Amino acid sequence: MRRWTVLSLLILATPLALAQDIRPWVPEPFTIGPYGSVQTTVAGVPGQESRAIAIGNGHTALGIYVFDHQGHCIAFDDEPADVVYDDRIVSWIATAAGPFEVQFRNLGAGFNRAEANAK
Amino acid sequence: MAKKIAALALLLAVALGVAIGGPTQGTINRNDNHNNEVRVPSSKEPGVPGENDEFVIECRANQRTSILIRGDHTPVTELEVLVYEMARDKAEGKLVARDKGTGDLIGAVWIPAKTAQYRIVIRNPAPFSQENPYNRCYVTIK
Repeated sequence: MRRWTVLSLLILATPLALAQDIRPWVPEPFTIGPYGSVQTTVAGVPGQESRAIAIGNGHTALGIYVFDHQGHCIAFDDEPADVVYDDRIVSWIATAAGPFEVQFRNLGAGFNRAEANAK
Repeated sequence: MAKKIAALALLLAVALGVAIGGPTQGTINRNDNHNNEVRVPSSKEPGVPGENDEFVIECRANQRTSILIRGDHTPVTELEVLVYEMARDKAEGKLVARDKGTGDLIGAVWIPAKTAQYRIVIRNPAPFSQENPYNRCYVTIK
């Protein structure tokens, strides 16, 4: 009886644990040093859209790069010739389970204080 | 020689893609310089968010278009953005992109199926008060 109770609790807890994984990453604003980067991971649900955003302070260009678990870059936004070169967004639909690594890179020689999130 | 021409053509195609991606009128950047920010009114009725729908832009078919919105953080509220492809009769049409759930830093990406007008609606659920009549948003569309 106890074994079944434990098993039931585990089954019930699994969706809660998975739900925690897909919470958006919403950090406080952060500063990225010259040519530096900040990274996070996104769980990604097959068939559903994931996306990452960064808005910088205008001092340097930023780029966002997304890598799958095999290290392939599957999405990016980094065109330095853009009129607004540090407002970035990438969006992708996972074809397989993640995790996906999201890198926010500073493409310039100065500091950039950015706001970002990913989900 | 043929390889050089092919490489040049590829470079031109990429450059052209960068130049013509996004709205027909080019990148739109609205910020807090000279009161140029986008004001999204607060909610005046419980359950009915305030809306700003001033953006009606033409987008080219198959060109990636994106919008980024950052609220004023006073206070941080759950903004929402919806993008509609407008019908010929100027009806609101089909919802092609939306985003919410990350506070007041949100965004959306869409690839227009056809060259058409797109209406962008930004919603603000924060309750109206004299101190907080609207959210000053920084908006980039490209």
